[in-house]
Amino acid sequence: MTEYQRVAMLEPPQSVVSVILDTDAAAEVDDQFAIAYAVRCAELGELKLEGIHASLSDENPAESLERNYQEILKVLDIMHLEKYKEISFRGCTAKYTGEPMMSDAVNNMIRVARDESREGPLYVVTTGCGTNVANAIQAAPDIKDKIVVVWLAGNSLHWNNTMECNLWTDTKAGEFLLDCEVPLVLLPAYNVVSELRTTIYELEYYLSDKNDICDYLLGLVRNYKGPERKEGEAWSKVIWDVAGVAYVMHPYWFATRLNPTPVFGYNWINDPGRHLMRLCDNLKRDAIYMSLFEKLGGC
Amino acid sequence: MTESKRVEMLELPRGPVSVIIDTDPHCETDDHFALAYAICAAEKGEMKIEGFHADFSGGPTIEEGMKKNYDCVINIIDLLNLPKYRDITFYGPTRKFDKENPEITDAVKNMIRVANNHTSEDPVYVLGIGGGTTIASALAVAPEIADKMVLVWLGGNSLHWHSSMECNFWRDPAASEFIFDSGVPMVMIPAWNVTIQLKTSTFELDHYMKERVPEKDAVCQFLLDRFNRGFDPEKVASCSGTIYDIGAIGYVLHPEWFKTRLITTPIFAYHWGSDPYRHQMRICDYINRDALYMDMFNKLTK
Amino acid sequence: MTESKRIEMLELPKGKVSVVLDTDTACEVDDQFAVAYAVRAAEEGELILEGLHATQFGDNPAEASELSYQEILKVLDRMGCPQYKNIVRRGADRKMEGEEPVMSDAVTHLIELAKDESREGLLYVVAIGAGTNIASALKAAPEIMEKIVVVWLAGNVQHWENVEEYNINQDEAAARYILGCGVPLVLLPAYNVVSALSISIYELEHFIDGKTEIGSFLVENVRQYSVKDTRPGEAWTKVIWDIAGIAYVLHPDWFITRIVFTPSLSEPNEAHWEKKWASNPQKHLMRIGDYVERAPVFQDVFDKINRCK
Repeated sequence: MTEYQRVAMLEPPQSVVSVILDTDAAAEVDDQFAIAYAVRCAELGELKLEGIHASLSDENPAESLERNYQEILKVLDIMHLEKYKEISFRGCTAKYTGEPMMSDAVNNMIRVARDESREGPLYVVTTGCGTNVANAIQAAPDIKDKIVVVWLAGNSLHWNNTMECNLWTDTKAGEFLLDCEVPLVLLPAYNVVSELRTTIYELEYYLSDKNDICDYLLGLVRNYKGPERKEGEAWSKVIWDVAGVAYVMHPYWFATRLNPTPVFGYNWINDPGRHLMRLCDNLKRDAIYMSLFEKLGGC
Repeated sequence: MTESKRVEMLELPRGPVSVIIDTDPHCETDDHFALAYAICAAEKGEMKIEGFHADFSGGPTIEEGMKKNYDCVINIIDLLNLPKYRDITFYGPTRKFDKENPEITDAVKNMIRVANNHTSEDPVYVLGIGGGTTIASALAVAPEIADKMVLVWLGGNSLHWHSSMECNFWRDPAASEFIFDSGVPMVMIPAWNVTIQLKTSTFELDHYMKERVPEKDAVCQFLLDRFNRGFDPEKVASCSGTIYDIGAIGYVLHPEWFKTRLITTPIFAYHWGSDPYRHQMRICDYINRDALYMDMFNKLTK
Repeated sequence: MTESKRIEMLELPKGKVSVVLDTDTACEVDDQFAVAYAVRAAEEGELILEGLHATQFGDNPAEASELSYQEILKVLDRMGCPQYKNIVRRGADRKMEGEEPVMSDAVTHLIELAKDESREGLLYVVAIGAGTNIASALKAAPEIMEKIVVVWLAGNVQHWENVEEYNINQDEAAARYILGCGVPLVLLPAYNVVSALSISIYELEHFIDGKTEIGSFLVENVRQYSVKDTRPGEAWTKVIWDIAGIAYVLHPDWFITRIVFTPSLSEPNEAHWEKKWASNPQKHLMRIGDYVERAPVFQDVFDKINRCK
């Protein structure tokens, strides 16, 4: 792919786009929001959802993968939208090695990407580690000029480190995605997606007494015990993963620019002459949350 | 123009390409070398020259300075005894750039005419080795030429430099600002710390240019004499010099000798302004001096 | 060391400073220029030369280090300056590789000099080869960090796509240590800063050939080097890299430098075999060279060499 073809594919998405959501659904409490948001948008015809893929999320790859897959099904059950189970697939059961590893998710990604009837690229919204996407590209390099990977990963380039779960859960996959020249939109955790903070009180205001899925999501945050809950502080929770879905729906809520792709390392490694990617610097938090609340409330 | 179209036009040139050379030779030595190098390359079929445009410099007035530059171009053409190039040599500005009221000079007319005969797939390369007055004026009068040309402009300084202060970019700062804002596909070859390394000396020039074919004797002698003005055998600074401007010619002939990359176009100001959301341009970080000089020596003497 | 102390030590050198030159003299043809330049500057009272240290390079470090030692002595003989032989020391006989310092006469000497309380001001360690001796001294006696400034020709500018540069590659572990330990560091990058000090054989011949024994020796070295280094189709020039370090301590005004966050070297792996600069905006500061003015440097080198008796 030439640089200008990549730049053309990295233009902000227009109109109704095709999307695969690749998610470590049970790893935390934010992926469930992203799944519900994406499914609801698909129901309303605002995007075309072509796959919900489970990815591994910790040092017990197979186990975490299964947990994440079951969580996708659970969210769909709660939404009473079982038909989306047909496009829900298990991803790879081991971290990326460089040798392609097939899985239902990888097969589906390749199949959908190669669909000639689609206009425009397939957006692979990756809200977990890069394992499935890396394996799909490794197995079928031709899909590189058919997909745009929208990935929540790493931190801003001026950050003093890249320590962030999605990038570091499967570093080889991450390195591959940064190297392989696939059109990539990078949504860094700090200090960009971290702006998507909310509190129990805001969630209660917008989601209470609406429907089953709102109750479920609210309960997840109420019961959240992870590192972002700091007792004794006025703790807030970042609902990280909705950013990826929001980007393909409303790219103009995101301040993005073209930037040479950095090389993976504990600190970002400079290579100012590398292929370009699209980098997000900032997002409109309030607009994204309003859209999310409206969609979830209407379920 | 879309970003992808601009990036496509900024792909490395695949020669032979058409060029226009915008030059101010009167005050400096390097333009003369660049002009002779370009004409010799064109005569070998490695590029097609579609215009020499005289920029101003050297005064006392803008118009007089411009005419001196014009005469310098004619001089090189005559030394090579190739009168056909006289017909494509044009007067440039008699006043500085005014966005509201750009001056429509012969050079501006030629640039618009030539660019309109080209396409984004086969653009004309405007090699700027002087100030930006003619280029900015043509873009202001006929903005549509922006997607039919690539500007290769030699000037300014690297972006980590403390300032952009350099003759070509500061001769007519309003023109420079206009060009940087215009979105025309642009390759910038900075003076510091890039073309400043295109150093040579009296002794190297003597070595490589002593033997030459008879029809190039006159131009070689002229270039050597010009370089050796103020020669002082005791002083390194008087025996050596920088032939900056051959950088622009070399880029379209042999882009593989140039280490370049895409960057976001800075905002033109005394201290480079940074706006990472602007359009892309190509910047040069390094030139293979030894290869470029040998190519020039070969073209000038054989 | 506090950041403010480091910044103070990184102020441009003023006046007649004390210098140790650490050189892989036998490696190429430019170190000899630097040795001669440093000795002449000392002779002319422009700096105090306290050490000439040989260092290793290449695949046979012990032999290379010894050859460098002998080459320093040879340059001193050609200059008719044998009195400097008593500050010449043998350096590392191997690369640092692991964690342990590589002890040598040069390292002991450097530590001794750095600790010399009688000196006012700092000791400038001008390193124009691998970092083995310097990193070893800093490991063996970390307290000397407060007394020395390392002026190192190494790496490339930060917008370069890689840091595959000779001096760094000759001892990567030493390089990582020097960049990490916090010693006040002036980094003079090869590309595209010191690379400006390129010169043709014809210009060298004009200025220094046949005038002094050392001048002719230096030119002859370059002439011989050109035979194997000339690439077809190129008008060969040689970068006399190593004079930059001495020029910096004599005339920092010929350089443009600035304070930046010290970059780190990336860890090469299968996908990225090239080392690159990794950025860490929380690391300590260093001084980096952006530019060196070529003409005055060569003028000074030539003038000093031609004044050699």
